[in-house]
Amino acid sequence: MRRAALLVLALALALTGCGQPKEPAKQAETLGSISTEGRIVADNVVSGRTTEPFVRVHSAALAEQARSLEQAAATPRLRSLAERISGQLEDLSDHADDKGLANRVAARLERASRTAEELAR
Amino acid sequence: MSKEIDLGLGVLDHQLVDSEGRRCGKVDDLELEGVADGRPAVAAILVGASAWRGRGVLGRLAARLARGRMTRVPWQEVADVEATLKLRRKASELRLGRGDDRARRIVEWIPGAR
Amino acid sequence: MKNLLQVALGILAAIGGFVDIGDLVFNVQAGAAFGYRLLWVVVIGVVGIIVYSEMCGRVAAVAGRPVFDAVRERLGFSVGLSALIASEIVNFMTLAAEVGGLAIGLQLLSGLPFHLLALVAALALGLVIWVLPFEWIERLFGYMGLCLLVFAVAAIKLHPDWSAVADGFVPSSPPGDRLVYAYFVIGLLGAAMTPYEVYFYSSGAVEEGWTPKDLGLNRANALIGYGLGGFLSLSLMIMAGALFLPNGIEPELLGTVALGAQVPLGTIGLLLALLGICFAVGGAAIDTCFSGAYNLAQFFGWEWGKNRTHAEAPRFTLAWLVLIVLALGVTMTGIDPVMLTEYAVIFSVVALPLTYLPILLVANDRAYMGRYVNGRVANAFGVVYLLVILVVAVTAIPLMLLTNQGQG
Repeated sequence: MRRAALLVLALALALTGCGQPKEPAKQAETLGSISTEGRIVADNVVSGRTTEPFVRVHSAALAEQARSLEQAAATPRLRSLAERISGQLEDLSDHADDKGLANRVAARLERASRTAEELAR
Repeated sequence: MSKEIDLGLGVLDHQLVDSEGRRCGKVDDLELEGVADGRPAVAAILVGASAWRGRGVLGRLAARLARGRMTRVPWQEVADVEATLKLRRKASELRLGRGDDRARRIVEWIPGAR
Repeated sequence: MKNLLQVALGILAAIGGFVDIGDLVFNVQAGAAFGYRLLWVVVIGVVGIIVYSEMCGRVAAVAGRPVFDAVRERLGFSVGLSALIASEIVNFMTLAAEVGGLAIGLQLLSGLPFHLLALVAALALGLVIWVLPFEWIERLFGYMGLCLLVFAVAAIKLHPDWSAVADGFVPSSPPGDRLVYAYFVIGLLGAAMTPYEVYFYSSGAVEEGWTPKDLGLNRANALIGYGLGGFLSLSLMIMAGALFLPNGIEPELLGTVALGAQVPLGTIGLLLALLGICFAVGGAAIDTCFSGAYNLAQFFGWEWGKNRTHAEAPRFTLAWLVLIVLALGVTMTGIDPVMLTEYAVIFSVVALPLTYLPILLVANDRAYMGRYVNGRVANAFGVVYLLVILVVAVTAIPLMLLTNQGQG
């Protein structure tokens, strides 16, 4: 009896371990969140209101979130959107003090956010 | 000692403190005598992992895992019973606090331990 | 006059000391998900921790018992041991999350690799505890934790709708997903009522040799310290509600929390936020680590104390050393500290009744407390919160599973 309860608990914990959204609308929302935040970080590089280590580390972390969503994407459109977003964020991370690049990344992430918004409806 | 003491709430599981104010274990169990005569009295305090065997299911399990020894402290060694049980002599004289003594030999290796 | 200065210094140190990674994560996520609608929960949580902490302080001052002495005396060996095991597991998860959080904070500041910084974080914490007298540690982490006040400034500069903020202090019918709302209620209460802080406080009171004369100080400490921690938690939620919710940002990273201060305040806001996070989480790690060692020592009767030399309390010393090393081990596996925090907070509310109940019993026991037993007001609060804690403990894990940790 106790072992059964432990098994159920273990299974339940395993299921929640990923914390990844599964439905398309939710995934789109999350991608929108990532790209909006990434756009803010990119804007900060342009305005100079940030530090290079922060941009490098945080955009890499955001890119990783987008990458893992890309692998778990529910539809091909979501997958390609996730790939675009993670690509832009990785560029930003690799060139954290390049204002010109940051400007372009910000614009592309802005567009990605709008696409995500449409997909979420 | 002539004040009334509730053994269950006032003694068992309480902290033991020696004559120098050093904490040296808990009252893990009590040894009673004279129960058959109808005049029960505390003969001794039992301290140590094997004393947990009489303290419930988890107690038995813990006693087996801890593989500890048990020290018997005759009741006469207790000087006073308050929040803690104060003992008349030092912990080393009563063979208590040996776990800390053993651990001290490890900790003293690290500079700045004193 | 000198007393007033001491109290003021204590208050300053307290602000930094009462926000940890659980508060950072849950208050910001709640604000991003529900705006200002969960502010009332923070108030309930803060009152709860004040009630719990005041009782523990009173038990320490009058009966001379820290929490786990009372747990073992009141629940007996077997039940007490299960309370100890549950508390140690939760403590350890929290500690690992905090060490990981500190490493991330350092990484966001320096850009150095995570694993190196995890090692640096653990070594720094261990060294600080080993070398510095505890008063210095409390002052250092407390004052530097004051940097967190940047979040209060940020919240104001973001120009939230103050009438909506005011409405948030009144419980309202949950908009949208009710289960996710309930999950955040549980999480916020858990983040506010962190047990390790109480164990730490109670042990400190016993060590300082508090007597009934210190009861006023006890109440002031509890009220002001946790009150200020609550103020910071409210600031975090308001900031998140003003910045993240309108932009559809779902915070899952510590860097996002720092961004909340950067957007209104620029680079200086970012740096203060990161510094504040590092010291708050680092200070919390030290408190958690000691808590874990205190609980073991107090349950088994070992010598203990942060003001003793390390050789005077060897098993206690080994306990906290081993805890830091193990926490470092967990952090090195790369497990996400934010996710670990979410689990730690939820599990901590599940275990909370086990240590709350014995204290409530002891606080009501004339044999322990004499005339300082819980009065009617203290008992009213004490019993109400026991019921709150029981309900929260029972619903926490089902809600976590049903809502996929608040993601719906």
